Amino acid sequence: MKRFFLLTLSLALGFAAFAESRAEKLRKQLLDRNNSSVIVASHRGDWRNFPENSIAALNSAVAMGVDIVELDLQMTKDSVIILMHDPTLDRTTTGKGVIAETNYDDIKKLKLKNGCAIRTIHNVPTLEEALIAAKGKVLVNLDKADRYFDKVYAIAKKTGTEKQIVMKGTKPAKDVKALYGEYLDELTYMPIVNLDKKNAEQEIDNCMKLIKPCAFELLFVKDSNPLPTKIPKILDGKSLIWYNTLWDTMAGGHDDDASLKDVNNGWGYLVDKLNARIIQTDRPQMLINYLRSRNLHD
Amino acid sequence: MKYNPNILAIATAFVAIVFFSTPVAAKGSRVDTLVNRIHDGGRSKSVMIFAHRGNWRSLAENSLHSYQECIDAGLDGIEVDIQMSKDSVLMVMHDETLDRTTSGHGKLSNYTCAQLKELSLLSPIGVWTKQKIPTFEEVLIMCKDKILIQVDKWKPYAREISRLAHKHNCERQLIIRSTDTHKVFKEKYGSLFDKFIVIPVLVCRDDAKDHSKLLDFTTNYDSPVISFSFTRENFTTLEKIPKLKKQGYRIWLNSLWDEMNAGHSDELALTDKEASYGWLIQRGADIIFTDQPMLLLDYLRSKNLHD
Repeated sequence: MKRFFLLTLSLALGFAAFAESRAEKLRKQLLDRNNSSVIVASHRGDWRNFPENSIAALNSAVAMGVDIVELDLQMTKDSVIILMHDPTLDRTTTGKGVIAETNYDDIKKLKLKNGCAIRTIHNVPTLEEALIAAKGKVLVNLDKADRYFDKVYAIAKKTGTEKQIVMKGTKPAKDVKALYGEYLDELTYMPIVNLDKKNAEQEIDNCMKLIKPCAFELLFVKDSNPLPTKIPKILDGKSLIWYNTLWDTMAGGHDDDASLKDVNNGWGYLVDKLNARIIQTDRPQMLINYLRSRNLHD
Repeated sequence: MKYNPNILAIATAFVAIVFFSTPVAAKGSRVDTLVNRIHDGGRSKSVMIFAHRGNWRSLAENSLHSYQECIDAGLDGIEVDIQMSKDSVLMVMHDETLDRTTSGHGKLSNYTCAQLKELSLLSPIGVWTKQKIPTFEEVLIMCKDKILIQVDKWKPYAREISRLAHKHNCERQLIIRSTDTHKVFKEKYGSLFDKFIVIPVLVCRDDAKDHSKLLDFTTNYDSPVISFSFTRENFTTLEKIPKLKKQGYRIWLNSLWDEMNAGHSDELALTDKEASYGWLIQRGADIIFTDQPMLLLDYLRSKNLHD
């Protein structure tokens, strides 16, 4: 009996050790260019219920089933990386002033404000606190992280979350290769290509040759641009396509607001007509509900 | 208003007979239902929901779009904030300055209504939307007969608010809240709000003074509702709530933020609805002013406390 117990225990521990975390599963989905479901990225976390860029907003997005949480970074005067969108404290905290001219100890005393500018109980998180909260649970898209790349990388290493980090950028492929080449096995990097620019196709081709990204973020203002329907054939099986539906000029007007009125003209259009497999949204709960109804999300 | 229980019973019976026997009432507008509800002293066992600045978690605060969502969801009331343009048009916006909620900058009162109409409202995270700053009149026209409207920041514009409400014949669905004693209120505003629902608000501070103010409210105001705001749970005036309910009042409490409800706020409701909404209702709330109208609606429906 005792031996049976020990066997069961060791099996259970063994499974626990080898069980894939949700973050690992999501990373694999990206690396495999898995086309069978749609990945949901939540802009600034679940800011409708909690302050944008707060740990609570991150946790709520994870609980909702979000796959990638987008967070914004700023650096304090004493070089602490915190989560905040604006370069000033005024809009989202009880404080005032420029972050780069304020020490972290002073920012630590502030409270975050909610979407109608009322003080909440939540504090300004550091990047390190956010990565600890996200560890194993979700991928993390760090916006404009290239400004402090070395510091961000060091914090990711320290917290053991480097494989959960998604970075995006508009730099030419050769620059990305030169700057980040040695890190690209760990971090995920996605080029951003504006399809309204003349050299868009050439830039996509360069990226595919030099860095073979798992996904491209694409942008276009109007449906009259022929590229959005052409690119999916070129990228098929090689890279996934990321669209943002935050506002109308990011993906031909097929945005969150359009989805609120007629989902087939919003998210549905991007998924079915333009092969979008990653969507960044300000309405993550609604998008997940929609995708689940079509068996496109777990 | 002080009710004599016998008169109250007779009046209730009379109202019931009139309403249940009149086909027009049965086919009445949503506002007929809501006006009856707010005057029913809580006897319909429902808890009414007022949405602070509209459904701002979904759409730009104080926008027509966010108010429409409140109507569509079947909420009982919305709240609007009033500012005045350079050319004396009442606009619905919270701040005196344009910077936080619109694409413009500076004081709202430095711009004409036409200039203000060129601006875009921003979403709760500061992103441009297609919505414009509504005028108070546009909100009245859109909401007429559909939902109750609590008007906030009304004091500097009392006369104009009263005039527009009269023009659109919608006074009965308009609510203002006042912390003044009845005498002071009448001195300041005369009969301007006689056809409105004027709700006295007790901001609990000092037990002795609060009791005398509450007595003034119940003796002199002709209101179906008393509102309380409190930073801690043990103000003795809060113990009067059950008696007020027996006298025929509805009780308005705020779940907005912790200083109004001793911490039983919307923020707490996200993790523990019973400790927030459950607690407020248990203390007597049958109107709740909230920043989470949809969360509260789900909760109330699960308890059979809302249609």
